[in-house]
Amino acid sequence: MEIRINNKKLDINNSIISIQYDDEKIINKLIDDYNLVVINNNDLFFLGDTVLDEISLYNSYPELDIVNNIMNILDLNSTFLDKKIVNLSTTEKIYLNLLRNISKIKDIVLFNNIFLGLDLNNQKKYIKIINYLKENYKVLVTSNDVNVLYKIADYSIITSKRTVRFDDTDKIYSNVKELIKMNLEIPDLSYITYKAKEEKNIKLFYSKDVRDIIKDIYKHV
Amino acid sequence: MVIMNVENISFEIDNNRIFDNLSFSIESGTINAFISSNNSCKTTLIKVLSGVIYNNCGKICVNNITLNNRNFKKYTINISTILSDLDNQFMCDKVEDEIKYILKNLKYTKKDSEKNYCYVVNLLKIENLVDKKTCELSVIEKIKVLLASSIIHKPKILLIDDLLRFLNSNERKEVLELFNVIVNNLNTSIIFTTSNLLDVINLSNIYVLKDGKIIMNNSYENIILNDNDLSKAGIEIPLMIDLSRKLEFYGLVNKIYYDRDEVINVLWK
Repeated sequence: MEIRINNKKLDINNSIISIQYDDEKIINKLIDDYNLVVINNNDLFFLGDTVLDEISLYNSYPELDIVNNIMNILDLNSTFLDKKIVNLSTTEKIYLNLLRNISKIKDIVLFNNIFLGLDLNNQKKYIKIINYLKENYKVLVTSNDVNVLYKIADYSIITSKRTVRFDDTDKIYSNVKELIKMNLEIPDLSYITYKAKEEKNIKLFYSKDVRDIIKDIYKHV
Repeated sequence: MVIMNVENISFEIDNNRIFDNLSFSIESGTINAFISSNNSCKTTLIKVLSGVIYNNCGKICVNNITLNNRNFKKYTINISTILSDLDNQFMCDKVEDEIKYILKNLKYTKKDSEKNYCYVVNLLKIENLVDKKTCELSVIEKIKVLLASSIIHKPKILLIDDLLRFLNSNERKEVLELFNVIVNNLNTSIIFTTSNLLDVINLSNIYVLKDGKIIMNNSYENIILNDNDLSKAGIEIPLMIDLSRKLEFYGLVNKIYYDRDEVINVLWK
């Protein structure tokens, strides 16, 4: 499967694709071009009376199996569907926004900055959901936190000024020099690995987990 | 000087106790953060403090006025509140009208209204936004306008519910800087809620909530030393702090570093 960003063709055969961007228009165009189902945590405006009303209002034929499985991951039981929206907490509203959007999932789903405002526990749940969805769908993920993107993505795309600057995770994060030149944000672990080599002549392995880099640093200090 | 005093407030929803004898006091001209995991009823706390939800269990006092059924107006005149539901808080089409809106309700004269308006626009440096429509604003612009409209009548307390979650790291710094500007110029005390430790860097008054209780009340530097308690409270430790704490555990560094270059220079001198 491929997507096009500003005429650049990108094969998205891997399932979790991260997109780093500095101009929201590129994401809006992607949404329009591919009619993407978008999950974000900002749109918490609801019209229904109960949770189930809201999901049904959003989609006459909701993908209830997916909704149920995601509710399980979120530790929600079926009574959540009967809850009145006025009684929901902010986090429950974020859950509802996810459920109503995911109920109309097609081929590609975009999680647009969904880690904003989520605590550690909920971040883990959302990563589980992303991994569950990637079995059958293409999952695009954006985040203001490049550390999160680096950790979860199978394939990464970095755009700047509405142009694709890099794609493919391995190439990107071992090309820190280029990222610095372009003034693009770099994940902390990649940056430390790069700088250790450049400035101290210490060869660390590019790793995605703090625990791995600690072992590596321990060997070299 | 203590501007807000909260004594033993408790709150229940559907027989679930959300706060349990919560007590704290807020000094005037300070920035205070309440941090907890999601679903810890931070929004409810803000609503209780603002008087939107009336709670007769415990005592809340602002500027020597105790909140009760009879003096709701007197109490709330000292307080401004910004809730996290960004888009639902705009009342007007134009930014200028939005900022002045509260002054109309408070029956300010046109002259005073104009004076206060010019002051906040200048203070928050939002001259470039005043001619825009509210629907055209970006997220950070919306936040700036909401801040302006909230402080235009110079309240004693500004309550902000989880607003920084919408922002990236640079925008977050910008808004935190505006908090300082507000506190330093108006002597308003700010109370904000968040679930992200990056929002409270360098603050000296942080309250960590868990299961409806304050489990820590300290400065940022002291709070991050209790990373186990923070993790138990469901609060994520930022990557650089996590890395520093682990390096510290192995005796490779002797303090917490926030800067990536600094860590490298300390590890390999």
